[in-house]
Amino acid sequence: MEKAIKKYFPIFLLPTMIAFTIGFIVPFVYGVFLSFCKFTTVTDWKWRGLQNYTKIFFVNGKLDTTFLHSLWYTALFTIVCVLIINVLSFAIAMLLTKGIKGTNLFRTVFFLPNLIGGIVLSYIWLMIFNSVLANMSKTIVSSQWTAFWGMVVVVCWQQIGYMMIIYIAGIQNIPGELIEAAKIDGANSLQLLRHVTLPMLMPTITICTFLTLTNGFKLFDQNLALTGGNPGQMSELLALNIYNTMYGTTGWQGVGQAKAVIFFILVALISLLQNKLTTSKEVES
Amino acid sequence: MKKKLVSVLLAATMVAGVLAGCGGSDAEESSGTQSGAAASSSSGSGSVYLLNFKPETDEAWQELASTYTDQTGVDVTVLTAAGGQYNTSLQAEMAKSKMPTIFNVGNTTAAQTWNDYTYDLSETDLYNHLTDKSLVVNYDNKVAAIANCYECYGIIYNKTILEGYCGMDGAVVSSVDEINSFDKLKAVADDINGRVDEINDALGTNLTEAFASAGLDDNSSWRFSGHLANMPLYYEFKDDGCDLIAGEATIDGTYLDQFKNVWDMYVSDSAADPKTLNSGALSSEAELGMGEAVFYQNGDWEFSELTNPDNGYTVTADDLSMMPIYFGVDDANQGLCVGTENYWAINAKASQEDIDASLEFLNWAISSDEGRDAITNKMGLTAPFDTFTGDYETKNAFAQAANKLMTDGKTSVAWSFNATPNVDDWRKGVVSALTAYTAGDGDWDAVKTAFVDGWAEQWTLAHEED
Amino acid sequence: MAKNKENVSTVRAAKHGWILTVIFAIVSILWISPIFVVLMNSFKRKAYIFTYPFSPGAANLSEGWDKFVAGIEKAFCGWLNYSNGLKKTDFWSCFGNSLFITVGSVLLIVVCCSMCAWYITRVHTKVTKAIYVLCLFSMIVPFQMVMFTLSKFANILHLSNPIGIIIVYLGFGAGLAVFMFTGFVKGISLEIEEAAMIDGCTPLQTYFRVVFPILKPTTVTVAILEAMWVWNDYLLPSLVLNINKYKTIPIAVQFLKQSHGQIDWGAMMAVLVMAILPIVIFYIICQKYIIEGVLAGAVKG
Repeated sequence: MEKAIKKYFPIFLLPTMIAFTIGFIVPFVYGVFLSFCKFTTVTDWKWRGLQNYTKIFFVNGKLDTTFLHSLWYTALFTIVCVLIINVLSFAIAMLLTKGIKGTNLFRTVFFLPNLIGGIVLSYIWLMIFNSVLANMSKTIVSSQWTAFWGMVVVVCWQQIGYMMIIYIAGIQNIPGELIEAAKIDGANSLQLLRHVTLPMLMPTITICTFLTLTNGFKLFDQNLALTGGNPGQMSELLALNIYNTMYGTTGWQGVGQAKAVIFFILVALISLLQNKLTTSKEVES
Repeated sequence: MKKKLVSVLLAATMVAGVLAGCGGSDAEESSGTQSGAAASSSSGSGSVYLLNFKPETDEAWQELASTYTDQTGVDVTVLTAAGGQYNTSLQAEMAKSKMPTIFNVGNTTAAQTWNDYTYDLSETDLYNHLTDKSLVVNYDNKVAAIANCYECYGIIYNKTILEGYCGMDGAVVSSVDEINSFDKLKAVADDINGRVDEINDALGTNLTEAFASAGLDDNSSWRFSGHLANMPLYYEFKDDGCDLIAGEATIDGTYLDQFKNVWDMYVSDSAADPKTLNSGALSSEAELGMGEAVFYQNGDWEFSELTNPDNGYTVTADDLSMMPIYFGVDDANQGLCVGTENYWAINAKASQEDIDASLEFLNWAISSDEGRDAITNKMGLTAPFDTFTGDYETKNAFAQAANKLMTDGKTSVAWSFNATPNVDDWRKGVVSALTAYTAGDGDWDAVKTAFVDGWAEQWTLAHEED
Repeated sequence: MAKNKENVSTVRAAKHGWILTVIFAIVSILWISPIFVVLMNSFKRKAYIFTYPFSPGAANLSEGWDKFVAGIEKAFCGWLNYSNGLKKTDFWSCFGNSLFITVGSVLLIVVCCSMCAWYITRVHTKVTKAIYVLCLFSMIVPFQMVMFTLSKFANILHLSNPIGIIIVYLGFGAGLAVFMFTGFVKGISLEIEEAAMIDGCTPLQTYFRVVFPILKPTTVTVAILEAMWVWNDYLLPSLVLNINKYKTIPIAVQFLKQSHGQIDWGAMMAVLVMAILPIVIFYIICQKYIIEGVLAGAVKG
C-alpha cells in the first residue's frame, strides 16, 4: 500500500510543500541570513557579520537599553498575565462545574471576547480606559505602568474565557469516584482541592501555563493598538519593538532582523521547555 | 454506495482541479513577471502608483485617479498611509515589486535616504510650472522633489469671539491688531481663560477655554514636537547661518526657554487636564470648531475640516483667521510659518514608462480643470504652480492671512523642522519628555536633553555611512 | 464533553447554587459590558463619547432625569457614525476581503494539510519524516522572524492579493494543521484503508472516500482554529496584501487612525460594532463546534 500511495506525492504533498516553502522555509532561512546583513529590501544586502547584533545593544558607542528594557518588560508582562489568567480562569472553571443554573450561558459569555481580534479588542478598551482614567487625571499611556496594566486587563479579558474552557474540560475529566472517596475519607473542600483536584489537573495546568506564556511573549496587536509603545518606547513589548526597528527607522532593517532572531530563540526555548515538562509528566503518570 | 462513490470522485476531481490551479497559477505568476515587464516596455504606457502623504486628501485623490483612468486608460493607484506612519508605509511599499512611482519626500534627510530612488525633476514641466523655484528639495545635484502645495501654520483664532472680547470692558487689548507679541498674546489668553463665564454671558458664546487642548497623543503631538519645535530650530539655524531647511548636526537649544513659555501658555490657558493630554480622547479641532476655544495652533489644512458642513462645526469661514506663533524673539517681523513637507518625488527605480506616465499624470493634475478643482477646492490646498489662477486661487482664509502678512512685509518662518533627523524617533523622545514635564512627573531639563542630545544622536544615526 | 460527565457535576451541585447563579449573572453582564458601552456610544455624537462614556446621552443620570433625557436628545445622532465609519473604511469591501480570505484559507488548509498529513504518516521515508519535523519546527517560529522576508517574497511572486495571500496562509499555517492531522491519522487503523485499496480504489479515492470522512472531528478543529487566526490577523495581511486595494477588517480599523487630526471616535465606535457583529453571529450559530474545536486544539497544541 505504501508504494501505491508514494506515487501520488504530487497531489498529496506538493501543494502544501510549495506553499510551505514560500510561506515558511525560504523566508526563515533567508531571514536568518539577512540578520547578518545591512539591507533595505531583500535584494540589496551587504554582508555585515555580527554588526547588527552589536547594534541592538550598542548605538553610537553607547549602551542602548531600549531592547533590554523591552525584554524585561515583556518578561514581567508575561509572568503577570500567566498568573492572573490561570488563577482566575481556574477559579471560574471550578465554580462553573458545580452545576449551577445557567452554566452554559455563562460559559458562552466568558468565552466571547476570545473570538474578537486583538486590534478591535484594543480599541474597545482604549475608549473605556481613557474615559475612566481621565477621572484620575491619567491616561493609558501616562506611564509604562498604566500601559502595562491596561494591556494586562485586555489580555486577561481575551484569554480567561479560553483557558476557562480548557480547565472546565480538565475538571470534568477527574473521575467522580475519586472525589466521592476523598469526601468519605473526611477531606474538606480545601484539602480536596490541594490533594485531589490540583494534582489531577497538572497536565491541564501545564498546557494553560504555556499557552498563556507564549501568547504573552508574542503579543503584538494589542500593544500596537492600545499603547503604540508610548510613552516614548517604554511600553514596547518585544514584538512591537522588532516591528518598529524594522519598519520605523530607515537603514535599521538588519538590526530588526537580528532582534527577530533573538526573539525566535527565546520563543523556541520556552517551547522546548514546555515539551520537556509535558513529556516527563506523561512518563511519570 | 454508487451515489457516494460518484460524489467522492467529484470531490476528488474538484480538489485535483484546485490543486492544479494552485500549481499552475504559481507557474503563471512567475512567468507573468517577465512577460509583464516585457509587455510594458513594448506597449509604452506605464502605470502610476501614488503613495499619498496627506490622509485628509485621500478621497479627492482617489476620485481624481479614477477620472484620469477613465479619460486616458492609464492605470492610477493611490494609497494613503495611515496614523503618522508614512515612513513605515513607504518602506514597506518600496520593498514590494509594485513600488510607488510617486512618493513623498519630506525633507533633505529623506531625500538622502531615498537618494537612489529620486528621479531628477529639473527638466520636467512640473518644475517649469513652479512659481517659486525654492520650493523643491535639492539633493545630490538634482531636483529630487517638487512641492505640490505649500502650507502655513500659526495660531488659528476665532475672529468673531476675539473681536467681541476686545470690545468688552477691561479687555487687555482693544483690537485684535494689538496682539503683536508673545507678551500681548499671553496676557490676552490668560485674561480670556480666567473670564470664560463672564465672556459667555456678555457674548452669548460657549467658551470653555482660551486655547484648544494641546493633545500629546500620536495624532496630535506633532503640532508641538514638529510645528512648535520649529520655532526654536528656525531661530537657532538663523543665528548659526546654516541652511534653514537642511539644518545642522548639533543644536544648542538656545531658544528653548521661549519654547517653554509658549508651551506653558498652551497648557495653562486650556481646560484640558495637563495630566491626560496624551489620552487621544481630546479633540482640539472640535473645541475650536464648536466655539469652545478661541485659539488653536494648527495649519491651513484645517480650513476645509473646520468649514466642512458634514463635520457639524458651528464656526464659519468668516470666523476664522490666523496669527503668527509669537515667540518672543523677533515678534515685530515674524509672519506665519510657511513651507511644506509635501514634495512629490518620482521613483527612479520604476520603469521609464511608469516614470513618464507618472509625470504625465502629475502634469494633468496641476493643469486640467478636474485636477485644479480637486487640489484647490476639494483638498483645499494652495498649490505653488502658475497654472492655478482665477477660479483656482486659494479660498483658504488661513492661506490668505499668510499672503497678507507677506505683503505687509513680515518674514515668513521657514519650516526648519524639515531638517529633523529620524523624525519619528526624535519626536518620540521629545514628546515623551514633554508629556512627563506637563503631567508633573518630569522636569524641563529632560525636555531639553531630549531636544538637544536627541538631535545630535539621531543626526549621527541618520547620517552614518557604512 | 460527554453528557454523563455533566450529570456527575450536577449531582455535585452546591447547596447555595442560586447565589452563585446571581453572582455569575452580574459578573457576566459586567464581562461583556465593554461591548455594550461601545454599542451605546456608536449612536452618540463624537463630542460626548469621552465626556459621558457610560451614559447614553450628554448628561449622567445623577444629574437628574430631565437633564438626562435632554442629554440623550442632544447626543443622539442616529446612524451618522455608521454612515461615516462605513464610508471612511469602505467597510463592505473590507468585510468581503476578510470573508473571502478566511474561507479560502481555511478550505485550502484543511484539504491540503490533511492530505499532506495522511501522506507523511502512511509513507515512511526520510523526506516525510523531515517534513514532519519541519512542521513541528515552524510552529515555534514567531511571525516577526519571517515577516520581512515573507512579505517580500509574497510580493515577488505576485501573491499580494486575496487569492495569493491564501497560499501564504497555507504556507505559514501548514505547521499546526499538519501536526494536528498527523496526530489523528496515526490513530486510524490501517485495515479500512487497505480494504478500500484491495477493492481497487486508487489512493486518491481511498483518501476522499474513507480517510477524509473519518478525519471530520479534526477537520472541524483545524478549521475553527485557522478561521479564528486568519479572520483576526492584522500583521500578516497588512504586510503582504496590497493594502491600497485590499484591506481586511482589522487593517481598516487600524487605518481609521489618521495622521492629521485626531481619531474620529464616532466612526471608530460604529466600525467596532460592525466588526464585532459578524463574530457574535457566527459564535451563536457555531458555538458548540467552536468550543470543542478550541479545546481539542489546546490539548493537542
